Amino acid sequence: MKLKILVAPIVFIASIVLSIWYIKPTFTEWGLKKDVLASKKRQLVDMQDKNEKVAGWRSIAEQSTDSKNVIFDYVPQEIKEEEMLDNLNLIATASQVILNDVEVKKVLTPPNSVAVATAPLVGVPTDEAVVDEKLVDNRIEVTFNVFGEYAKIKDFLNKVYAFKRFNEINSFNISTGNAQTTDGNTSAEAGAEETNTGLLKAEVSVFFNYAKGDKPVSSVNDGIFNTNFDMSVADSIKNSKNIEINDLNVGQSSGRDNPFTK
Amino acid sequence: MSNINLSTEEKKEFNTEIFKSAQFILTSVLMVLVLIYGVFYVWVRVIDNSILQVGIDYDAQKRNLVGAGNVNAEVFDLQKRMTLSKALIVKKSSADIILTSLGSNIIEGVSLNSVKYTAVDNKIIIDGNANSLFDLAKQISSLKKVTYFDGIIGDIKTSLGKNSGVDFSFAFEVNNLSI
Repeated sequence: MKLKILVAPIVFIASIVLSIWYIKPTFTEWGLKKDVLASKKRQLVDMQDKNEKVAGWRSIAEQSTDSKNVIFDYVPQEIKEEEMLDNLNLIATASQVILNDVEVKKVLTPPNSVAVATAPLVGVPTDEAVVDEKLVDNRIEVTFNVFGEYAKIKDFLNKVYAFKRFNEINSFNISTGNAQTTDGNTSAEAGAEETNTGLLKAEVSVFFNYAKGDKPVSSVNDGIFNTNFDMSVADSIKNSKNIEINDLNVGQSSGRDNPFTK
Repeated sequence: MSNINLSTEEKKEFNTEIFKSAQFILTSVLMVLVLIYGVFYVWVRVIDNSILQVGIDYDAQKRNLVGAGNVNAEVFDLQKRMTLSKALIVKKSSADIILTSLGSNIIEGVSLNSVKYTAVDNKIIIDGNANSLFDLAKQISSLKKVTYFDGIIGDIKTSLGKNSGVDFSFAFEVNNLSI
């Protein structure tokens, strides 16, 4: 009977022990894990939203093949030197100027390259580092000489600008001196005569570009997810650029017994 | 001799009741605490499972969005290409602006020998011949009124013309080409 008197203190002590060593830590753990779950759910919802957004982009892109091609022509994935040569030649012919001394050079450090920075994602907390993905805008410098009248050289440069592949004039030097006449005369004495005939020489440097697009989006925090998928830029290109890119066709003329003959 | 009974039966019964009540209350409290602990314990395990499930779903969504070989690579490339194109398409034709501006602002009595433009330093260097210094002054004044030309950079050089008049050379700063 006397042991009964110990029940109350033991129960009291057990209550204290249970409260301090079991309930309190479990309660704290519950609170923390509840927050973790809420955070993870927010991230999941954000991820689902991004997937839905990108699925919408894919759907728009699939329905706008023409606009997609315009954009991939404007900033191609490859250098396409042959495209530059062929089209410059066609534009020169259309503008009635003589195109000569064409050189195609890779520019290691583009002086006027456009950096397309994208804003980092804000809002959803995450432990992943924010990666600012960019499409690298590689430049190709094409230099050449053009001979012709002032108006025709101007027309040629305008047509190059209106070409449906991005390009910008890096430099030009239009001069009367040493303009090469059609018979190949480059003598200084010809200068005065050339001025009279209006024949000018333009030394031109044009930047073309390409962007490989081989740098995939690897972070869910890439700024691209904050952008709007606006294909109206294709319309801007179509409206402001009216010189079509010629589709170069090699044809059936390749292959000959002696490659040193034409 | 009379006996004095000091024991109080009523008090004894009172203490036992209090003891029993206290014992009951404490036991009840302990039971409630055990119940609370049990509930939290189970709840934490449920949350653990939920975190695990959400993590699995998140990883699946992430793989679908940016994982290796995902179906979005092409549309991401297109989106970046469009952003780049938007930045590039606003650029105006520097050649057209410069040549048109020069063409419409070269005055009578002045002819050009060369026009050199470089985008990197945004300037044009003009070489030409004027009938007189007066014509050259008028020419400079005319060019200064062109919206796209900021002003003369550096020196103006003149010399007696080889055939006649005054040969000159000066550089203009070009602006607003990308607006």
